[in-house]
Amino acid sequence: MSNVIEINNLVKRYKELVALDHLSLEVKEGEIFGLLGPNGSGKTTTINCILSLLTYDKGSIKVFGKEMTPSSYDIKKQIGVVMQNVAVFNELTVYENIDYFCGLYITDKELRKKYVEEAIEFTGLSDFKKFRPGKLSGGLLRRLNIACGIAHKPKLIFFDEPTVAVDPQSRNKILEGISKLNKDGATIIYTSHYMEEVEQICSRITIMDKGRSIANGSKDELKKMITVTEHISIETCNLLDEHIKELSGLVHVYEVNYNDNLLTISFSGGKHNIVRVLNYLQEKNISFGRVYSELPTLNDVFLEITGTQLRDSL
Amino acid sequence: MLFHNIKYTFLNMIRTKEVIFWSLVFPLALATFMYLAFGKINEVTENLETIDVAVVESVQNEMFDKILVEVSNGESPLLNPMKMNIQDAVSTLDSKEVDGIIHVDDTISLSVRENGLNATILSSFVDRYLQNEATLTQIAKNNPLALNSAIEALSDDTSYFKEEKLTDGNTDNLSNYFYAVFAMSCLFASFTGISSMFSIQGNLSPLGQRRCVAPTKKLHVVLTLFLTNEIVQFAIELITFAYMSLVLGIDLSNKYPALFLLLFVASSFGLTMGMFIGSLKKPVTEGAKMGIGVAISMALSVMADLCVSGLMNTIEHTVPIINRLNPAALISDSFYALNTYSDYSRYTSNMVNLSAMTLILFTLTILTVRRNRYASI
Amino acid sequence: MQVFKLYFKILKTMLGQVLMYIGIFTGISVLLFNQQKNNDPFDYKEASLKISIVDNDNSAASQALNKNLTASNELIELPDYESDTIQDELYNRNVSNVIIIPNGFSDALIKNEAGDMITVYNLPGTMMASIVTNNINNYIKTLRANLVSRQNVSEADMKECISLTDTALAKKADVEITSHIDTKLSLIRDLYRYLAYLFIALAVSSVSPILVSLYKKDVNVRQNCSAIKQSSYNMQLFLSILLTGVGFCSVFVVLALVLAGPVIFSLKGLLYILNMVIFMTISLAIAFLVANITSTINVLSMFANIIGLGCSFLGGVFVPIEMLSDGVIKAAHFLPSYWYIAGNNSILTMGTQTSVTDTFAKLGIEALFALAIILVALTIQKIKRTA
Repeated sequence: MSNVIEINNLVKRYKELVALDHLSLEVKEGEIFGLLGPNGSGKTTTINCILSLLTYDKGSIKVFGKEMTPSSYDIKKQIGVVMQNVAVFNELTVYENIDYFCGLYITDKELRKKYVEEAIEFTGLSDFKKFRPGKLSGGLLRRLNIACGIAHKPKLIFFDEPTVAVDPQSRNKILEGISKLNKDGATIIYTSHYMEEVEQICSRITIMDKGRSIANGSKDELKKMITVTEHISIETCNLLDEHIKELSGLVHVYEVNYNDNLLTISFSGGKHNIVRVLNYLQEKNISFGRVYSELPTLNDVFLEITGTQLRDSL
Repeated sequence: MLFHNIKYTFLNMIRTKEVIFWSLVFPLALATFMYLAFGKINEVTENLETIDVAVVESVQNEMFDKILVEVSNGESPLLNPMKMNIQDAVSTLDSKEVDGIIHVDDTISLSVRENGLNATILSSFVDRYLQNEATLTQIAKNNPLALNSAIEALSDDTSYFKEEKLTDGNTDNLSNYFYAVFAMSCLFASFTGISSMFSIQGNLSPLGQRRCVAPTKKLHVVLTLFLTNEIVQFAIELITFAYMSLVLGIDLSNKYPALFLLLFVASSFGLTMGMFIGSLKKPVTEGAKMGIGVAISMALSVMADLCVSGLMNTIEHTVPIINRLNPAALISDSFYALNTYSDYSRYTSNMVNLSAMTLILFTLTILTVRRNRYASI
Repeated sequence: MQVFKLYFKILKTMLGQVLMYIGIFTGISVLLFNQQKNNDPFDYKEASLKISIVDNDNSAASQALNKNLTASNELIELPDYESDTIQDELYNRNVSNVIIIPNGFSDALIKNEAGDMITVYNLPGTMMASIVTNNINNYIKTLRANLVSRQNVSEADMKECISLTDTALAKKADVEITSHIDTKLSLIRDLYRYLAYLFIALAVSSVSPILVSLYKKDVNVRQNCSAIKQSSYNMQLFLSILLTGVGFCSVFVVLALVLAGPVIFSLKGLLYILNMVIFMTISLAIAFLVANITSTINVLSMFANIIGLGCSFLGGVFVPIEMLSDGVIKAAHFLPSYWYIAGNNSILTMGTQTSVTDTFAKLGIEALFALAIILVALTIQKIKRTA
């Protein structure tokens, strides 16, 4: 698979502040690429640089194998952008808004009409075609924002935190939609500071902090990078300090917590960890309620990586 | 509690650019523009000034010369005659250096650039000469013995009239514009009234919902709202007044207690009008209510001579009742009455009307607010 | 032509306001036109003043004076002659002089004891006051001159003297009006004067909000990363604004054509149109500038009001230039509306009182204003964008 985007040693400074610090990344065709990082880590700056909305101080950006400049209209034609903020005209109706933005790419009237209708269908806005944005709810506005960005069927779509301030139902709808766009052939760049979202849809992820890429790989690759591989939680009471001590001594155990009658044990590596813990509890005649095991989430990855990094930089 | 309210009303107001602009900056700017533009208007159109005139003599006319000298002397002479040849005369007339050319030939004739008061004065001067000449020629022919006494009668300086003025106040009718600016500025207090009502009504804003559930009587709430806003609004009117009379030097009379009472009642009216509009169930949005506020304030002010001088006067002559009911006209007329008459009867009757209307609107506001149980929030 | 279409779609949402502005203006223009239509400036007319006369003497002499005064002035009946009424009517300029001829005036006149007898209420020191009082004195003096030659004035004598006086006073000087100004052209000038206010108000209230919408940061970003060429975008926007200007201007060309006739297509009429187009450009430039300064509609309307009213009051729109004080006129040189008005005045008197160069110089200064405003706006835009 070829690279849709290639960024090499990108540096962007806002006066003293270094927003992007020798950032390099690649996005491959057909993937959903997640750009994950806390607020202010440089995600939006990266996107703006790729789109040539911002100038940068060093490095190179190639999109579809070509150098990206403000006047690379042939490249821009294949790009769709869904911004963080809702960017539509309040004076135009839903249909007119989508038609306008689509028209900036597609000049053929018939084709455009078809595309606009499809985008409306896709985002579920059919009942609101004649509405002005002022009359739409927050979730519908977000969907309109998306429709305006994707109506022209771009090959490469940027989603910059499209789910900010959206209720869970709409959020799921949006995420499903993005997956569908990807299945239909579009390469997608998705930024968020919600780990679950990225985890849910992205095939490859770069974690950013302070303008740098601090981790990079597929979900599983990232998870392998961290120490903790499994959490086991057990509801139980009457646990004594000595029990906790002994549990800490079990093989592969990394950390033990006991709070509010909930025992949580983190493991680093190993197999059948849960069997060993349950055996121990039975041995000591300790009764227990629900037991569950969780594999590490990206949240763990994120916290652990940024956490260590933060500690290092202090 | 009251001081607390005033403090926050005040802070809220000065941080709302729009309110400060429309209730303070705009009236001040408008007054300044008018002041600068009207500065010389009545001087040019109404006040008597010496008229520059070219005199072209084709023949000698001693008698006319003598009269020319007469009218061009003295403290404020009627004419400033300049003798010149015809070419110069025409070009100076074209370039507006003189207002007319007097041609002294077998008879006296006049050229002016255009009709107007100066042209009338010039022509009546020439007319007078010709008329006197005709009178004397006539008398010389019929009764030559009486000629000398006739000349005396024509040239003696007896005046057969005495001019009387009825006021020592300001007779400049352009002052109406400034009175109307006050009327407008007081009615613009309604904007504050409208937005303040949004803060207490449950169906209009979340803040209003909070206030609605608080255990305070509606009368108390509305009264507090009125008082706090009125204090700030009155201060704004005082600033406007100070600016107009001290900085621009517009003659607004010096009956300060009466003027301040007028400003207080007038701004109270504006504020109450706004609160009443704000209390109405429809329209719902603040924008629409503001629209109504602007439309009413502007219409009433225009009818009180804000834009076209003379409208209020026309109304007075056709449907005077409108002027008794138009708050802007009452405000403007009160300024006029204070500035013109020595007694207070007209001012008082205006103030009674204005206060009564304020009270009525205030009562209506409370009734509307009290009754409101919202069908939907 | 997406941007072009978008522009007019947004403009359509503001059509009500635009039509309201134009409608009010047209209404006022028609009123103004009907008022002026009846005046023929080539015919010399004495200024007619509004006077009110109370004749308590009711003698031949007082009636003759009455008749003489009302011949060239308009007689006004006041509802009553209480001092408050007289004062109000004087203040409102409904009457310029209220003349009270007392009982016994005629007898006193014959005995030469009539000095100061007639009471005149007016606004002392005004031209209107002095024209009428001069007429009164003039009439009575002439009558006196005729009377002095007679002993024991009989009724017949009085009649004869009055008739001699009237004959003498009927003599009027020939007055020639020199300025050969086309009435129709002068009408157009007066009509177009108020455009200086209207255009700024129109442009700022219709074009600025559209630009603000288009320049809204988020939308602008979306447009910037789309496939539309920046140059094409700017060109479409420029064309749209241009067309708006042309549209507004043509409304007033048509209005002038309807009110004043084909004279609008004469050389001077075309110059008026040129001047109007230049001022429209200035107004649009101001709208462009304002849209780059602020991004909220409320602030826009503040700008519209202050700029519009300021330029109009101080630039000779609401109050003719000749009536402005010297200081204001000096300051007004920095306002484009001043040059617009001066330009129109110049066009009207071009060939007689003003030269062609003079006229074009004024139009040129206006064009420079437009250019300067656009440059400032572009600079602000650039500074804002890079920040």
